[in-house]
Amino acid sequence: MPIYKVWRESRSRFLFILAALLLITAASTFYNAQAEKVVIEAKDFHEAGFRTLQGPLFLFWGFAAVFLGLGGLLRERSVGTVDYTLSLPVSRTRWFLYRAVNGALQAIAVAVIPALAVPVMARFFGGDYPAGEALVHGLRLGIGGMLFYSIGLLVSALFPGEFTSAGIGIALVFAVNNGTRVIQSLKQLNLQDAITPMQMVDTSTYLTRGQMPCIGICLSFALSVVLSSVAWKVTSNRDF
Amino acid sequence: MILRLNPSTGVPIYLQIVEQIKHSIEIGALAHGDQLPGIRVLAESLVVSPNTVVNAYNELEREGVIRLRQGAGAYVEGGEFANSRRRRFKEASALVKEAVKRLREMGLTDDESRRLFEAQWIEEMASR
Amino acid sequence: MNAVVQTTQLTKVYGTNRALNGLTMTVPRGGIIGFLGRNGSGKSTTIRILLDVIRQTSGEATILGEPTRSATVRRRIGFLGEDKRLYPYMTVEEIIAFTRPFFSTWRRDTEARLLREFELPARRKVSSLSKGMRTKLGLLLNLCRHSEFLILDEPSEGLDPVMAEQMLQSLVQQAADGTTVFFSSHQISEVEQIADYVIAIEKGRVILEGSLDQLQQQFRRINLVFDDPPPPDAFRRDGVDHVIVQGRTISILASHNVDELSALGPLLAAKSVEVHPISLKELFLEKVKER
Repeated sequence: MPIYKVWRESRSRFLFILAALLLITAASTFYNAQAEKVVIEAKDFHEAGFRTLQGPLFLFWGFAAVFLGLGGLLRERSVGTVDYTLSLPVSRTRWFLYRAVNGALQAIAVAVIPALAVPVMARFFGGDYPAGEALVHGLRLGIGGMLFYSIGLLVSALFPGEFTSAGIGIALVFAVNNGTRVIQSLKQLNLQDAITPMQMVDTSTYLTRGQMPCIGICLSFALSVVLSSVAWKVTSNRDF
Repeated sequence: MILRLNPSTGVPIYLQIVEQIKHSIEIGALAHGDQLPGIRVLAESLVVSPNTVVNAYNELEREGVIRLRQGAGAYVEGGEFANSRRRRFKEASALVKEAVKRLREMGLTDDESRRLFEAQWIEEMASR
Repeated sequence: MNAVVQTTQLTKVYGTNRALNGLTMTVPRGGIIGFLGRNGSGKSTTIRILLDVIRQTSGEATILGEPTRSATVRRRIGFLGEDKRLYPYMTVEEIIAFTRPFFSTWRRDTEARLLREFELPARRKVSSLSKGMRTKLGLLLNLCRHSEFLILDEPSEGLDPVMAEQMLQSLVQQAADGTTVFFSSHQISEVEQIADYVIAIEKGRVILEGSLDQLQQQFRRINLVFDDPPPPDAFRRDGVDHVIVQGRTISILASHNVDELSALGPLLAAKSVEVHPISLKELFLEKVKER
């Protein structure tokens, strides 16, 4: 089954990234909670959790998503296996789809599972952080942040070198994040705010309430579909 | 069957197989009624295309040397035929013995004699 | 359908380099076809176009009657690339299990037999296989398919003489089972040995094509020795492919009409006339020079 190959070739990378993000999230929560050297109250732990989810998890997940998008047929050409893959009775479009879906699911998984580390760490401190809250936050990140994943798909379809495409992908994520934070006219487009706008957060409890930022998430997802389509077109037409 | 083929001489491999099978019959290595190896088996052991073996067997059948029995294999043909070939071979051996003796008496080395024969054969085969 | 491959004016241009320059050829069904050419003559390019790995600049190509872009036609095809590289992260049995379902003609008994004959360790990762074992695995993955059509790009490249011979033997077996075997090579000796049909290319074009037996019976080298050689123009006749003058000897490469051409000897008062068969190697080298 083509999906088996696609999964197997991405398995180590996925597990490594998952482990790394789990570690980062757990450590960050621990650090944030420790910063308050008083007895932990429910609210303080909520703040520690929130700061972790919005901060380090968002940042490192962005890079992770790019990495999960790398690879593909162009990478196989460097390794030398592309002739075997393309000689099988599977069209380039099918290979692309399988890879794209496999990577997207992995991107969501490495957003949701590390996010769930926060409630676990909370127990560790004798405090609490609602698991549902963490789960939904992870989903908003994974789905709304798909843009970064599709950047990974696109650069790996365009550039043959592993380091070249990774480098350009990371640079683009940096540019998108910082550019939309710093440049006044682009502030509207900041992804962090689009996924979890501050209006959603109750600063007294550091939990979210109210409406889901559906429009922001949908627009961002739509943009990632556009980038992925370009990646697909490039893959369909090029010489390997 | 032990055949010595040379793919690089320009003589088609199937003809080389034909000649060598005929030779085997002449010297008695193959006798009337003997079964020749199957096409696949011979092709695999000689490492030549099965089509080449098919062509060789067809040519041998055309010349009456073997008979291809539908689904049952290839068999060396008739006693009468084999015997006449063997007789002819004996006569030919005597001729060659005489020729070699004469050429040596004339002072030719064996290599020089061999070259003369080869030149003659090439011309014969080429003008076929 | 009698042709397994048909190309018409196939052209591939890379910048200023014409890798293929109007390649028109028909690969007949059945038997073993040798695709002969020097390095850089366009063999790999042609094969990659047939498998839709690269796209031609112009011209057409069909494989088993279908356009090369069709993914479904590849269910009936086997391919062993020059590189012979396989997925490093899979084990031997994993890559076999992965490949098997794509091909309805796959035979488990062949799989079991070859695993034993080739002595391939089922649980070893592909990345830790030697080149020889990798080649055998690549071969197994193709032979089990019992495809209609098997394409190989330089199959004995990088193999020691024993393995190369085993490789050729496997190809003969496949042909005996009914698979049309098409292999590219720059080694004339292996083409001479197992091919019954030859297509030779040079600079992206076909220079020689036909059944090997026919080519060998058709072409002749006629050497005429003169005291005073006539000008080469005297030999511009039907059947003459090529004339070489070396001192007192005039050497003609004749593609047909051999009897008439040999008769020129006595007609022009030649001191000697010799007619020789011509090996594929000589023929190929001669045709390459003509281009």
